[in-house]
Amino acid sequence: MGEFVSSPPGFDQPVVFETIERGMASEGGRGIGSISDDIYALGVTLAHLLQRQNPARGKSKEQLLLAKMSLSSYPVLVGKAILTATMLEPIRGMLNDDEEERWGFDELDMWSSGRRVAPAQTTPVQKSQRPVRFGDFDHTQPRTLAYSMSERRESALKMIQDGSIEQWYSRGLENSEMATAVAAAVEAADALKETVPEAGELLLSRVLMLMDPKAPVTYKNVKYMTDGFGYALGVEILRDGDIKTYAESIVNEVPGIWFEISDESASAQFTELEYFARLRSHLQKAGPGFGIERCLYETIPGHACRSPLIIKENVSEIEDILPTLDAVEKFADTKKSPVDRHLAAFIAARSEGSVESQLNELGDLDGTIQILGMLRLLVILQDRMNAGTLLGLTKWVGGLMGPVIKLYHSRSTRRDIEAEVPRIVRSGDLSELLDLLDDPVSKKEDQTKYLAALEEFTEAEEEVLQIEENTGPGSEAANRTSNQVAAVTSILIMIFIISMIIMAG
Amino acid sequence: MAREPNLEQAPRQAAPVKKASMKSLLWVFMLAIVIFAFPESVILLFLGLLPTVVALIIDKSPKKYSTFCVGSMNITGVFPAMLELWAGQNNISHAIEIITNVFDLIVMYAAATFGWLLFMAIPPVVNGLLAVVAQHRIAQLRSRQRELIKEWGDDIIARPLDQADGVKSASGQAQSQTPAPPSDIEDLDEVPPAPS
Repeated sequence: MGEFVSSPPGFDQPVVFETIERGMASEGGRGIGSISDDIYALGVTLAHLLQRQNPARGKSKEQLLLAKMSLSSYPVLVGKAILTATMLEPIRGMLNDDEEERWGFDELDMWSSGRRVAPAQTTPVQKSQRPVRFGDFDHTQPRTLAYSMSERRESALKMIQDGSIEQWYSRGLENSEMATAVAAAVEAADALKETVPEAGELLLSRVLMLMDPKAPVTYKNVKYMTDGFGYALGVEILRDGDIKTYAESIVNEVPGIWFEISDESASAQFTELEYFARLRSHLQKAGPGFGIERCLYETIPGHACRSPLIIKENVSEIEDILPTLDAVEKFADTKKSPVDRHLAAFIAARSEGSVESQLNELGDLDGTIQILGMLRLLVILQDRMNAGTLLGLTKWVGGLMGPVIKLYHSRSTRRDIEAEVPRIVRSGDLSELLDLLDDPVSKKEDQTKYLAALEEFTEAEEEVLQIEENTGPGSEAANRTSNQVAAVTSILIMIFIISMIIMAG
Repeated sequence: MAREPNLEQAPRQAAPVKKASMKSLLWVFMLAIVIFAFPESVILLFLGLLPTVVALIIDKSPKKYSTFCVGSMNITGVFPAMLELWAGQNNISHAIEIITNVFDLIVMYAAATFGWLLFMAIPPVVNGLLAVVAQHRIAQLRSRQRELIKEWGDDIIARPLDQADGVKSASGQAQSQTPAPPSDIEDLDEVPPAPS
């Protein structure tokens, strides 16, 4: 399968073809993108073709982006190179860094039909008269400085904390509003320093996003567009990369800071914030079906399940899970549960109904409850997907039911169940297995009888102790009884003999 | 300030003492009447029942079982002599004649000795019988316990009833009153030894 469908949007695209914002994000986190981004890339392609060379040749990613930010894309990618008069206008339009002003299909259609397109409105960029030297660059714009700072976070944080940024805003850029916002952020971070270990990083992220609200979400060494989080995470999981930082950014609600600062519409913000809040709640739960695995499958709808059991089968549809597990039973380690963290997360993310209670059971500390939770989850899946007979999987699951059978106290009940399991395994019906093992009537009866047996055992023990106490050698009761017997025997003999004498006399 | 004597309480305490002394006095009076009315019978009984008197003195147990044993047999031994006395002249000289007869005396004292023998021989036998019955009952109970363990597992031993799934025992007894279960299944085979 080609990169067009098998890799995240823009993943393999060189930075020069990306807009400034998407170029700043990591390869996996550039987001889904839009038609406007594709038109920009078309403009860059045309500039390459007309110049017959790469205009960004020899420039690093940082140099290219800083150049695009300080001069805008057109001068950087075309400059003073002589283009044909016909192509100059559309390339300038397509390379416009302002998405609102960038040419779209309408403008291109007008141009191709020979009509004149109205020139784009240029928005004046705020520049400082006093440049700031940071990262081998003299920065006059907050945007370029923010990008350089995001690449050198340690020295950037010091710069924020010593008040240099606040000072630059108030004196260099004469923007007291931003200076106040930066000062407030520093003050809030100071207050949180003792309780939040990542307060410094969060301060830096907030200030960088304040300085460049269009830039991607930035936290520690990761940068991603808000719609590119899932792909960025997926790429890092594939690379065995820095997943923790991505998870941390969600837990620390960094996308929330981005939305708070950005000028996105309230409804879009609400949807996105709800989306990130859901991811956060998944990350805050440690059990199977939650965590980073759940985020992966929630954020990338077509991502194949990465469970080691079925990773080679490349299962991306929930309908295929049970037949695949059924097929891999011959090769898998059947002493382990067929539902691991990835499978649980995949099922939870793709399942139409809620499986929260089964996931909670899967995450229980009690191994028996975990097994029952696994069985219930598979039964739900078999019912919802109409998976039919699953001989291999039922055999696999049936072999793991030992601890569940031991939930019954009665040995005879256990033996009965153990004798019944092979028959159910041959039928391949997981729900029948669940009915057998988790029958509430049988469980209640077993519990009642167990308590009665416990009481009987205790009473027998009490009686044994009482007998031992009363009939043991030298016990007071035994001595008393035996002496009484001796006395009564003597009296009876006396009565007998005297009666005999009287009767004889 | 001196406390006034409780005048009402004094007669109440004195009453039982007076009653007891009256009772003793009555006994002495009756004994005196019996001694004066039947001196020959009293002599024969006193000398014939000497082993019983000895048993009464040396028996320190509250219920005086040995006195009962010795006394019963002793009375059995004295009874023929008493019949002889009452059926004959029934005077002091006849009583002395009986007492001085070695054969009669042997019968009385041998009967008392038999009473002692009964008191020494019967309790161990009864103890043994009791132990056998107890062993049988214990064996029955242990057998039932083994059956319960076979059906319900070892944890039935280790778990006192009121800890089992939070269900309290039907008797409502405190846990301290519940006997400690045997530490091992092997303990169930133990039966108390019979007394030798």
